[in-house]
Amino acid sequence: MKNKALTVPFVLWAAIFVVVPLLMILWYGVTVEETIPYTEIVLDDGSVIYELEDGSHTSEKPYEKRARVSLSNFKRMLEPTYLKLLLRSLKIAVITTLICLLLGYPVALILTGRDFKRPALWLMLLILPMWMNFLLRTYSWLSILENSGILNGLIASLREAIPALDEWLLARGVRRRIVFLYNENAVILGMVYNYLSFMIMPIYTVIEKTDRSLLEAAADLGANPVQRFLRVTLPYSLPGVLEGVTMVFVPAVTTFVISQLMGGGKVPLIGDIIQNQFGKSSDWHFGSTLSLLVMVVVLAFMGALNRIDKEEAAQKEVRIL
Amino acid sequence: MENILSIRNLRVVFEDGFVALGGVSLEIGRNEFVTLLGPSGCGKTTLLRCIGGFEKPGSGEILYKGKDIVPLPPYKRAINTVFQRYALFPHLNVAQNVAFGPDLRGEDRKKTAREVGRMLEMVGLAGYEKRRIASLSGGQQQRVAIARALINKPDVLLLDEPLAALDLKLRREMQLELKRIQRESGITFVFVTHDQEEALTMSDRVAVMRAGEILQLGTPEDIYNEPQSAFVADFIGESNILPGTMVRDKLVRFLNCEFACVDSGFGEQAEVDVVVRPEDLKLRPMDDPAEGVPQGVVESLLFKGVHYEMKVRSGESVLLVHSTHARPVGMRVKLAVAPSDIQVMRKSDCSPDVLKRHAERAQ
Amino acid sequence: MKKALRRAYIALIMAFLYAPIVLLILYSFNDSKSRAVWGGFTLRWYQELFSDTAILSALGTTLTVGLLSAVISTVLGTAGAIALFQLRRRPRHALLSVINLPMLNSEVVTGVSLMLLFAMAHVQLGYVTLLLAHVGFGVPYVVLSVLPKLRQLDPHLAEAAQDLGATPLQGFLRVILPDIMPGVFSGFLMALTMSIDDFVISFFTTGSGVSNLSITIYTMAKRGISPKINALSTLIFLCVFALLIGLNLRDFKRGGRKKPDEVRIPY
Repeated sequence: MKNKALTVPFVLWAAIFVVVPLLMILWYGVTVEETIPYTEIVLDDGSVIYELEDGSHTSEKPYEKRARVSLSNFKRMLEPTYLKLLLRSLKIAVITTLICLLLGYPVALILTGRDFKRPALWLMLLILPMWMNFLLRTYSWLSILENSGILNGLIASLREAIPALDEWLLARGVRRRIVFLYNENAVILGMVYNYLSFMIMPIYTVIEKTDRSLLEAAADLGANPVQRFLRVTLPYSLPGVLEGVTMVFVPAVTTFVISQLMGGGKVPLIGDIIQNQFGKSSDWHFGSTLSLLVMVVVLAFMGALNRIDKEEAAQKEVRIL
Repeated sequence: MENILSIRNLRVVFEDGFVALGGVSLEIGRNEFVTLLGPSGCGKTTLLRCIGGFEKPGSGEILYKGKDIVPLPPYKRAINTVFQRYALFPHLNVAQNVAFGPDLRGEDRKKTAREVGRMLEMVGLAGYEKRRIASLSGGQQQRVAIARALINKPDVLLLDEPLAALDLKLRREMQLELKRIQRESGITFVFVTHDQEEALTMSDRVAVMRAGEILQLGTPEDIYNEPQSAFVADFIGESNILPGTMVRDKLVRFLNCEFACVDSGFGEQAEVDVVVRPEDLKLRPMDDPAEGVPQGVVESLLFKGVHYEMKVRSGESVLLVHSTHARPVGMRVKLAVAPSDIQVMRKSDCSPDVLKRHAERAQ
Repeated sequence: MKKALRRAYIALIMAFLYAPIVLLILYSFNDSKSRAVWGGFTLRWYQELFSDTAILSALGTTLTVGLLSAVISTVLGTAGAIALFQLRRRPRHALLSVINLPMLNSEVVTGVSLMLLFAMAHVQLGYVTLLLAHVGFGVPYVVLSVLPKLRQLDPHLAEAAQDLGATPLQGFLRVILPDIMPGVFSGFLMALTMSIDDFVISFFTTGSGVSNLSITIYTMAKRGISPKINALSTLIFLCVFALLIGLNLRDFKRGGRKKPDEVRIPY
């Protein structure tokens, strides 16, 4: 089985689909496109030649554009407009990740407990929504949350049924039709909805693998349920938490569809700007520079997480001693 | 009749420079049960893997019925292996595992099914055909691995520590079982183990290995009674190994006394190692008429079931003595050894190690 | 009491996850183009769905790209995992980091970088680039789900097969492959799921009028989504539901607590 023939296609794949594309981004990111200046000269016989900057002549029309190494896109990237966008993306991603963790951790914990006899079934039910196109699922939230949507309808009929509630709410300045959509909160809701399972799965996997006798041992040594959770379950589930955080944070920083649907274009994120550069604005160079920025931010984040991971691991070793 | 396997000057050097086999030669006859015995890292498994075709020797030959099989891949050798952890195929049931070889050769399915039944009966697993591998105990998996190998009617069966994973009682059972199968099938067994007791029980011949070399090759009785080096004496069974001097032929001096022995040819005043098995040391009362024998004091007494184990201090040394008669701790005794029970060996490169360890008993 | 609380919490989360989906399924039976009005029960959208060539061709693209890319990814990824497994430590770690990159990178960056790659190679964006891009991001999922299975393998299995007379190829097909099959299969399912659900990378790597369901829905979302899409999604959802239930049925019946990696769920 020691066949080097297997390695070659795989290395080729890695080179073509991973390494080269990233180098392309790097190249585009540090260059700008510029028009080659030239003068058109009509000769006596009616033919046309072109004079270039350096005084040379050519009978063929020069390529209009060329790439030049320049850091001007990096300067542009640091303009307040873009930095604000990046900060907003980071803020929304951090909030989304925290909410997913707070909502998801108890789910993982409960499913590994003894209440649920068939965790496989429940796990499957958690994953199943992913098989409905995510644009469609997100879009479906619009009909719940929009001004004339189901939620407002429910609230309205509730107010009609209980006039006292209606008055109470009006007194507090709550309008008849509440605007849920097209703000940061709506974008966060859309992200939490889409990424919650990414948080639950890795945490569940790790808690499930933790040796149950550890809990029993802790109980035997006199730890109450809260202590058992804090001293056994939580530290041991940390790798799962870190993986879940990564799986939520990375797409949350860079998404551009959810912000468009739930934010209605009013809450642009860094991902939207990148998409724009490769679509309407068609400035691939600046788009690449922004991609580089996102990459660096994500990698820095991952690096920080990995350090936590390593420190934690080192600490565990010390504890054993 | 020629030997079925002739291993000549086999040398294996690993990539990191470790010499796993340093030029090993070994002749194995038909229907023989040969055991490669040694501590881990001695090269016994490497030697087995060379015979099986899983390891390419750097130099040397392996003649199988007179033909060099070194260039042949494992699947072209009429030799089968029972692996240490059995390496049963987990996705196949017992019958499918056993039928793997015949199926590959495209043999008639009905005939194979009958053969499988016969094999399983021989290893005591009749009726287990449809069982899943994961549902079998260690001993049962072991038997399936043997059946899977034997169904191919190999001339040589290689066994790589096949009993290491079993508990003591089961291991004893399987030792007898394997010996029976070997006798009945008439197949040559090459057996690897680090358990000296196992090697002595089962083998026709034992090759004791150390650091990529065969130190001694012989029948279990030879190896036990006449170890040729301190290492072999120490590795096989329990022993007292003492530094000594060959005064002249058939007279050896150790424990500050001179003993008559049967060895000769070492030269006069030669430094040697002396081995005396614990059961060969006799304890006599102090009023025994023997003169010029070492004296000692019983330091400890342990009941071991079939015999008592005593530690007797004599001068600087502490000697291990097995006897069916208990002597109380603190009793002064005389020590006696019959000349034929004294084994004299030349000094070898591992003598210092072995002697040091034996001397440490005194502490 | 506590038990009831725990169950209520799970029910709440499930409601959160399934509310939009239930709604979507309801709308697919709604006899009105507007989402705001319930116009009575109808199967009209299901009928019209099968005469809408645009949607059907998008479905065709999604399914063929999904299956083809999953198959190619599975072959490449399995071979890659075996190659990786046999490499020595240092090159193995280097290659593993490389294949981890697309999984750590955000989809936007992956999509953009592949787009630039195709532009550089002067490949017209279309079906082929879409397929290649999906193979590009499918391979790591397969590698990472096959590798653990290889690690669990008894190191002597391949030798045992050869010892019994199997050539290395026969040994691989008869012994190694069946043994790592769960990993290969779940890698295939993951690559398929990721491909079918993908929008971002498809968005950057398709062109020439080739669009899959995600892109069709994205285009529609600006004008309002046709209930026919709801009907189609309902059908897909129910098919997958039936499939997953079927795959896992035996396990559910046994009811035993299973390790998560034995549960056949792609995620």
